[in-house]
Amino acid sequence: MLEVKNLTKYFDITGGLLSRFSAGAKVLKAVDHISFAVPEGKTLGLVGESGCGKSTTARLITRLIPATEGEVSFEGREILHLPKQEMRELRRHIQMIFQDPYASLNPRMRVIEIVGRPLALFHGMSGQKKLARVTELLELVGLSADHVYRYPHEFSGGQRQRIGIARALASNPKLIIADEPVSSLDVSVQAQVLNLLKRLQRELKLTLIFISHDLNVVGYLADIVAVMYAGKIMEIASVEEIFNAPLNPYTKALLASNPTVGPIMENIQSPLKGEVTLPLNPPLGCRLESRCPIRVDKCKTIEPLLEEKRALHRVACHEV
Amino acid sequence: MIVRRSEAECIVFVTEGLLLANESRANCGIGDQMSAPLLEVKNLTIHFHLKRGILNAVQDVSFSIQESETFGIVGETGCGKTVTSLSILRLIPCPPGEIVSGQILFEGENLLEKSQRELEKIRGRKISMVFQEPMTSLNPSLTVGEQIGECYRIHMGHSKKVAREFTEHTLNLVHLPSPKTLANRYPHELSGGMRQRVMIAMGLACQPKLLIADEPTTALDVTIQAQILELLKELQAKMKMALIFISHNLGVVARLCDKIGVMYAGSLVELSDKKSLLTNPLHPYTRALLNAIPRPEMRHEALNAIPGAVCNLFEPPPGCKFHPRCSRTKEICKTEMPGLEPKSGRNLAACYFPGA
Repeated sequence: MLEVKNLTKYFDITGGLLSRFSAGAKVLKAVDHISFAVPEGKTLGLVGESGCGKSTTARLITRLIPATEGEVSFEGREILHLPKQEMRELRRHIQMIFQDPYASLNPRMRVIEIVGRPLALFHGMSGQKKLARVTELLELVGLSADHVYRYPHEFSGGQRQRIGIARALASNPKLIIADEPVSSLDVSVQAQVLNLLKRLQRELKLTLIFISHDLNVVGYLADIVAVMYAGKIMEIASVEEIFNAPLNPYTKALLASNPTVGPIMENIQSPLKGEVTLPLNPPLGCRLESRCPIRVDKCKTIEPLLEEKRALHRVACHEV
Repeated sequence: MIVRRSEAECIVFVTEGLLLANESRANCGIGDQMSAPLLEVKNLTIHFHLKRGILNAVQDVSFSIQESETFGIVGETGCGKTVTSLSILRLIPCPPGEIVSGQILFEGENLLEKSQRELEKIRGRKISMVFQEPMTSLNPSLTVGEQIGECYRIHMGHSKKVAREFTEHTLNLVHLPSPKTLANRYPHELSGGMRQRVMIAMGLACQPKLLIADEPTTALDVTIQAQILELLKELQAKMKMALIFISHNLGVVARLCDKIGVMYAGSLVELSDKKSLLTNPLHPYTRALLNAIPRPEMRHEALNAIPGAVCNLFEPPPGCKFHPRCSRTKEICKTEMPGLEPKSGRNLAACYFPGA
């Protein structure tokens, strides 16, 4: 369905003219040669800490920002170099749900305008037809027909996120990229939205890329999990493999740091020391090298490649 | 047995390799017998007078904390956990806030009757606080060293030079590298995790008896959060101080606290020890909250989301505030508010039909 190959985004963050000459160029390797594939009807979970490049990946796939290098093919078509007109056509099949339900809805538009916009743009709907479809979409996400003429400020956070989901569904997309859609919600509301996403995916046969920093949420929703760190994919495998038999030391550390309520943990253990690595002029070797508990000499100089260490389980680490 | 504060303090500092012998405090160590709780909050009710009406932020909340005990408060947005914690240090802006009734007894004295001047001697000295967002709670125009040193100069009357020494020691205590250079840096030069360590150092500077941490790890990444939790646990045990830890994340609270209180819409609905709260919750809200947390092993079933939304705090429903969302609501729940009472051993719940 979706295949990403060597997708790369470098940001040039060299300051003014003077630093350009004195200190040399600074490059933030936000996303650095990542590759993965999402089969139809499945959910890929992208996890990682802040600054690891997960949101940038979402923006690259939807072409909200131009990629430095790499390929993204959607149903066999290369989309990164499609001309504007064709890309606009294609956008109806790839939609996004954003993190902040307060910032991603225009406060001056009514729900009918927000959810109806994709209908008008992609399907040429208007008037009664549009109203009927908007009502139908609202009911699909658990809102009701009397919400149609309200403004975003009249809704709670969870309801707004439902509006965002209705908007994403309006154009009948095949692929939805959800960028931290539940991280600003309380647990009880978060559960409602997660149930909704899961049900919609099943009923509408959607393919989903789900981005989150919360391992619990990703573990619940995803079929395949990719763990990112400082612009690189460290490990990618099925959700069962990641949670039951993680190989990369970073994945293990993430799992150990993840606050769960299941088995009571008596000891807090933080196997990772130090700060989250920023991919700013990153080291030659492994990005995790400075924090890794099992590092060896070559980690400093040779970058580990993402290799298949078990069936359908790819890991980037020298020591696995 | 009466433990004098200064003795305990000396022990801590001697183990740290620094002498604090010249430190003497006459005004404490009098009333703190082991049996009396360090902090006792009794029937605390707080309203906010807003344009839209009166917001019932906290209603009839009571709990107590013994010395060197860890107490966690969990709840969702707007449940009153932050307001409760701020009221202990009288940091609620009045107006619009008003502490309608209740008592906050710290070492037997009611903090609500203290003058501002008396409070200043307690804030940061005996009770201190670590806030959620370290960037907005640190002063951006002062160096880290100046901000931490202030505690020593104001509360303990040390000179700048001595304060500086103590500051470097405290920075060392929270495992920040090279304290000497770090003390000269400004908050914006530090990462989020380091800033939170600086906040904790500041909170611990005067070796308080009670540290209130309000969502101290919410803004941090998970691996950094794990580091900060480990640090808090280590320091709490080392300094034998009591800790109130507030979070919306039950998992985080469970890592740190022995006793946990659950708040819903301004009321404390359950107060249990960690183990029974997680394995055998008494209040239906606690149970629902636990079931709503997604887990990988539950991926083939739907999550038990709590239906509906939190009640309107301007006009809370009569009776139990959770009754519109509760699965075992009976007639009595709709009319009479249940009190927080012992239901199973020493565990308390505000519910007519508690348990499984």
